[in-house]
Amino acid sequence: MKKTPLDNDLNKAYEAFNQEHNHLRQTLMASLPEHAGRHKQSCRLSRMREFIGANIIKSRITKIAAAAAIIIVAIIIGVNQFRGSIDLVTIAIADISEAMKNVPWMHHINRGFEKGVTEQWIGFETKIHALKWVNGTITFSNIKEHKKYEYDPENNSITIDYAYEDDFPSSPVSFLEDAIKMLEEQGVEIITKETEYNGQIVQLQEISPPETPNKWGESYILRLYIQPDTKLLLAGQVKGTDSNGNTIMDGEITFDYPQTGPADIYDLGVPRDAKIIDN
Amino acid sequence: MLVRAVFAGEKAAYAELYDRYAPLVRAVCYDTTGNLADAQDLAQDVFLRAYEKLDHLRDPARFGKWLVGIARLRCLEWRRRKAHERDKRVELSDVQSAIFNPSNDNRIEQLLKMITTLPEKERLALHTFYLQGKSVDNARRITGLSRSGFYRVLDRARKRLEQLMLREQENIR
Repeated sequence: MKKTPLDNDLNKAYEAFNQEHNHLRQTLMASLPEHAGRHKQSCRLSRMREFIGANIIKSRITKIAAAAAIIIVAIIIGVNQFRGSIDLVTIAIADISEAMKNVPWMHHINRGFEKGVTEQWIGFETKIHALKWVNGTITFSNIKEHKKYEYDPENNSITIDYAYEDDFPSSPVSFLEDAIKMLEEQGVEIITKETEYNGQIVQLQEISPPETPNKWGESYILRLYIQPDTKLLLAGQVKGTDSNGNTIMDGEITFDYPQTGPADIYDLGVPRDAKIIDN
Repeated sequence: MLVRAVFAGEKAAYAELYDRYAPLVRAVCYDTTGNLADAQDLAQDVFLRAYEKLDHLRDPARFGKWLVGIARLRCLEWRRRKAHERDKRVELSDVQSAIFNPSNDNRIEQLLKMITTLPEKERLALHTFYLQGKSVDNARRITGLSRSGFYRVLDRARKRLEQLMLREQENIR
């Protein structure tokens, strides 16, 4: 290929990507796990957040929302264990795990949250995990087939990638363990009472973070509506007010437990003409 | 060979793979981030993920292509996250554009920005050619193009860049 002035400029331009190379290599090598190819469980907490659809964002409001969502997950799994002030250590993980075996699918819709997920399905038997995000992105993972499909609405394209077995919980217990840790850190207070929700008598649990209001003068309260017979969670609400009583967060997550869920990404409303990119 | 050595526990082999592909991965990430600092961070994450998931690579000879696939996916995630934080990004990019230009050569910086406007196939052809020792065979292994196809795409990318630069010069005048 003939050398041109552009060729010289491109050579110079691409030198930019060698900047700090040695330092970056050192940093990377120091952070590598002991063995290659062994996907570690080290990011369990962050994966749990992804699982429940809460974004890991630096803003304090989202942090509280994430904590609230984690509490919801804990309650889904161990609702009958929570009475008044809770002793988290006494939660019987084996019993909870047994109860959850009867739930083939869990589906929830989130409303009122600016970020993260709007809708999620988890098929425990089928090992399917599907998410709809606020920005229109849709992901569908079939763990048995090791395939993850991600729809990008901007480009009307579906990227196919490998779905990892350990990105899906074999049982909800692993999440419970993490949720317990979070709850312990939060030091939450729970008040239980009976109330009406959508025409039926349900158990209401009101959960307040330990510092209410917090140092910014904000108060948050999480309300969980539980079906008393099945002990399944019907809905969770998160409300936040500032020091003047103005609403700063008003989100609701409604749950249902269908027998079936989406079979593929097109069942989630992705256009059939979306371009496929296979990685 | 290097990939197998990494599996056998030789971390130094991974450092060699890093030397060979890190500039390319940074360039692919820069196409999305538009600033070098974020591209460097993303590339580090790509290499960390690749190391953790190396047992999923079916053909070690395709490590480069596989790595670029991970980088693309990581870029998608980055773009999605940034879409949520759009306001913040404006402030950050202002700061980071100042970090970017180490040579203070505006023409070079402009050229890199222009590359990000090219179609993906052309960008990858340029990146692989200029960052893989100008070896067409190395570049082809990553782009998956035939020899003639690769030259065609590379030529088209260069012509498009020349036009863009010409237009930019005319605008300055």
